[in-house]
This record gives sequence, structure tokens and C-alpha cells, in this order.
Amino acid sequence: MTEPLLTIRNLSVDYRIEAGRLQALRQVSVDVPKASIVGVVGESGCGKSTLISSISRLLPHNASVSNGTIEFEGVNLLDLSENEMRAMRGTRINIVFQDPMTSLNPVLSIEQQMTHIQYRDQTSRSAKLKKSLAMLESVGIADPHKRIAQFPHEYSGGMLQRISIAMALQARPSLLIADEPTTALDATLEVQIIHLLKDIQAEVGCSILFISHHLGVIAELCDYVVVMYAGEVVEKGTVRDVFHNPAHPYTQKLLECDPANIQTKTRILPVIPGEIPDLVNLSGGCIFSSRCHCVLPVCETHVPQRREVTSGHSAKCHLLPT
Amino acid sequence: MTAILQLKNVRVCFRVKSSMRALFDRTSPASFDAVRDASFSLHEGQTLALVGESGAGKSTLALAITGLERIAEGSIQFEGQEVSQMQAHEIREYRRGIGYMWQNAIGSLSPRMTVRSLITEPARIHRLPDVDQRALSSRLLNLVGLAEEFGDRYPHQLSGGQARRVGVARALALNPRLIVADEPTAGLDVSVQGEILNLLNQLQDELKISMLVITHNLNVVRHTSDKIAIMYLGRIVEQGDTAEIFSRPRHPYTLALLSASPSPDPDKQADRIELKGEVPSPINRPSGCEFHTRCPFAADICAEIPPPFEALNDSQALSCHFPR
Repeated sequence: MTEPLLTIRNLSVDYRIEAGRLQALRQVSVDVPKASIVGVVGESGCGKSTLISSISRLLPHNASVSNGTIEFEGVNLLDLSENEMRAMRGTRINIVFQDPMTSLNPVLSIEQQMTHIQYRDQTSRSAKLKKSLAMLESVGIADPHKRIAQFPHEYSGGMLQRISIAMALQARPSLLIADEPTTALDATLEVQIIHLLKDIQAEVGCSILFISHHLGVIAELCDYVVVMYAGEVVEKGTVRDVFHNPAHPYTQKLLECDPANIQTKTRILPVIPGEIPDLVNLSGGCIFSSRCHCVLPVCETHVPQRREVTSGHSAKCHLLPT
Repeated sequence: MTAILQLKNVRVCFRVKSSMRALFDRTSPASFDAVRDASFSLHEGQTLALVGESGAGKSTLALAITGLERIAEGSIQFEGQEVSQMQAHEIREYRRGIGYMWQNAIGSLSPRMTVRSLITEPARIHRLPDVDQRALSSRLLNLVGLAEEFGDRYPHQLSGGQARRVGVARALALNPRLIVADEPTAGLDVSVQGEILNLLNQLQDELKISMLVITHNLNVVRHTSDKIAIMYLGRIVEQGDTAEIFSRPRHPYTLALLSASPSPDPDKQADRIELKGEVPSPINRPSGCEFHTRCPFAADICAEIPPPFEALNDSQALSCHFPR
């Protein structure tokens, strides 16, 4: 791996809820090298959103980081003061959210929103407008001079997502977090956005942390992938290693379940039986043991350690040789 | 095999301004067609999938079939009866034969009712007094694979997959002959998606129900449907047997949709037909072939003459000047 940009080590986040302490993230370690795209894949409830909120330090009040560090460009983000963190967001770290319809303000024009977010720059209004227009053009909005005065409802979903990407990249951040940016879009537009992100990443040279539950999108866009399940990183490595040679039973099952992987027509599709375990009362064994198809007695009593499959490809499973 | 549902040249039209405004302001059309010239037939015990992107008119067509949306032209026949000519009391009777699974699984359930009362509600709405509601709810819960204790839960206590199962139970409550499932797996995780599709398949095999599935995801219908109709801008552009469409798609839009879904194999990123731009507005439809503005193979003729919807063979039909 090349020089690291973001290094998360043993991050644990808890939520205080009525039933007790919900351990949403446990010992999560993720590396984002410079100028690379890292995908985080997992089903609902696996902790993807908590991970993003931890990096951007936007966790809700009932959450607390109980362990770990988030090192970004050599600084532990968890040590920064609120003001220092605020200076970091929007300049060095930026986020594109899932639903562009709700992440933009419906009562302000795109021009107002795009110039407002440049409030830190000591430039004239016309310079800010010019920069906004250039950004719109770079994400493929035709006729930006006319369209910039319009309001979000006058755009389609795909266009709004392009605008969100343009706004996030305006300050040339070194890390772009994309939280399921294509889930709300149609298939043909999804492809357009993926290509846009790929082109822009090459142009700006930033890193992208791409959150998705869509395996195909991750395979196409990302260099590295992190597979999460119920608050843990169960497997990580290069996209090629993980998708061609999945080591963790959960990753194997997940790939098997994707209907895009099933070529011959079948009336019975594969599923992962069972449900995500209760994160308040953890059993103490491997987190996936209750749903695993190759479970051993040791899985129910001992938490597996991270084991290397090949260089840079590791998984948390008792089945792997130590 | 007899057709349970037959549509011929169905047109559904929406008004965009009041009739008064339309009188004085003639600069833009007063209405637009959400569905145009839709024809298909669904055979008993089979599944037909309507596939298309948002704004293609899939849900509008489904509403027209259930009689919730008035059709401007054409005919919809369910078991030989013309739906658009039914009286109010006949419509009520008719809807008993159709189960509808709504797109937003949790949003379509009243938050203040328990699952048990939700799944027996259809019997109350249709005033079937001799139905033993307790027995009905037990039977339905069992049918969709939910434990008896789920009957006392409220919608906010359900996961996405469980809410979907309740939706299936509601659709099955009156022993319908046809189920219309609007995006039955949207927003579900892949492992849960399989469970819901398996449930629908299994129920179809057991109860011999016909199904109309609406989706934007071709991978979902590959394993569940017998026939596919691809919709674009309110029109069916290609239609045929599922296997046929997957092995040999002919319409460029079908090709684009098929190649749009990225394969979960990093080395198998095939040559893709990437569509330029966005779906045009149905208020200002493009001239000629309505797909020509985004079609990678469009020629001059496409902008002028709309291609007819023609059968290629017994199992496939499409509208394109230059089928692949």
C-alpha cells in the first residue's frame, strides 16, 4: 500500500440506549491510502453510517468513542477541538450524502448554495460564482450559466447528485466520503455517477471512502474493499482479492446472494438465514457464528483474531490458518 | 393457457393544469400521457415483470389495472371483464381478486394498527362478516413465514424484510387471483431480497396465483418472471420471454439496462452501453422514436418516424428501427 491518508485503528463506538450499551463499532481498523478509492460494504445495521459519523465527528449525543484513533494526515481527529474539527470538515474532508433531494436546501437556488459554501475563501462574489460555474461544468451540467439560478426541485435526481459532488469537491478536499451516493438513482444514472466519481478522483487526486451495499458498484469503482458485519470489519483487501477469493464465510455468502452472480434461472435464490445479532448483549464468540454455514465449536466461545490470507488481504475467521 | 389479464393500447393521461387555465394558456399542453399504447397479456399462474426507470409509467399502469387510475383509451380485461366499464360496486368486487403490494412497505402500513389487525383489514374493508379474523390472521402469518407473536407487533417494530412479509400477507388476505407487487425488494439487503423473492415464488407455486412484478432491477426478475416488458417514457419498448430477453436483448434500451448493472467481478467490467443525458419529460416528448435522444445507435430516421411495435417472433416484440 502507498502512503496512508486516513488510518483508523481499533475504533469502538457505543450508543447508550434504554436497553443498555449498544456496541455499534468494535475494534474497527480501516486504511485509506492516498489517491485511492476504498469501498465499505455491508448490510443495514453493520455500522457503515456510524463509521462515517465517527470520521466526520458528527456522532449523535448518546454515542461515545470508547477506544481507538482516527488518524487523518497525521492528526488524530478525535483529539481535535470542535473549532479545529469544523475547519477540517468541508475543506479537507467532505461528504456526499445518499439522497440529493434532501441534502440540498429546497428554498435556496443552486447558485446561493454553491457560493455560500465558499464562505471561507477571501475572494469576491464574482470569483465565487465563476468557480461554481466551472465546477458545474466539470460534473457535466449542460448550460450552467442558465441552470445555476434554478432551485433543487427544477433538477432531476441524477443532476442533483452531480451538483452535490461538485459542491463537495469545490474545496479540493483530500478525502471525499460518499455515503451510498447512487442508491436513490436509476441504474443508467448510477453508471454515470460512478464514472464521474472515477474521473474526478483521477483529476483531483483525492481519496474516496465509498459506502455502499451494492457489490457490483464496489467491484467496478474501488481499489480496496472493507466488508463489515454487525459492527466489525470481517474482511478487507484489494477488490480483486476479496471478490475473487473471499475468505470470510459472510463475504462468500454475500457474493453468492447477489442475483447478478446467478446466471442460470432458479426458483430458489440463496439467502443468509437468521438475523443480525443483538449488539447490546454480545455472545462472546464470533459475531457471525449464529448464521455461519461452516461454524465450529470454537466459533461460539472465542472471538477470532484478524488473520492474513495473502499480503494485504485479511479476514477474521477461525477457519483460516494462523 | 388462458390470459387472466389482457391490456390493449392502454393510455393513461394526467392533467397538468386546471381546465380553466388550459382555456386561456395554450402555450403548453394541458395534459400528458404517463402511459401510452401499452399492450400485454398475463397468463394464469405466470409472472410478468414491468421493468423501467423512474418515470417510465410502471406504477401508473399498475394503478390503472387495479382501477385506481382512470384510463383515457384502450382496454383492460381481467378474466374477460372490461375493467374501465365497471360500475362502482363491480369495481369493489373486482379488487377483491387483486392483491396489491405497495412500494413503500413500512409507509403503507398504518403505524397505529397491530400486524394482526393490518392483515385482516382487507376482510373488514370488503365487509366479509363470516370470516373468522383470528383464524385468518394465523393462516396468513403462517403463509408468509412470520411467527404468531408478530401479530401483536406494530409496524415500527418490524424490520424491512418483515414489513415486506406483512405486505404479502395483506395482499393474500382475500385469496386473490392476481398479485401486483410494486418494487417488492426495493431498499432491502441482498440476503433479505432473496428471502422475499423465494416467498413470492413459493406462494405462486402453492396457490397458483398470477403475478405482476414492477421493478427497476433486471436482476430481480431474472429468476422470478416468465415474461418481461421493458418500459421507457410510458411505452413498452420491448417485450418477450425472460430467457429470450436475457440471452438476446434487441432494443438498445434493454441492452443499456442490462449492461448498467455492474457485475460483482472486478475483472468482468464488460463493454458498457452508457446512456447520455437523462430521461426526457413526458410533457415534451421527443419526436420520432422517443428513445432517440439517448440512443447510441440513433440515425436520422429515428428522429422523424416513430418505429412500430412489431413482433419479431412468437416470444419477442419490440419497437426499434434498428434492432440489435
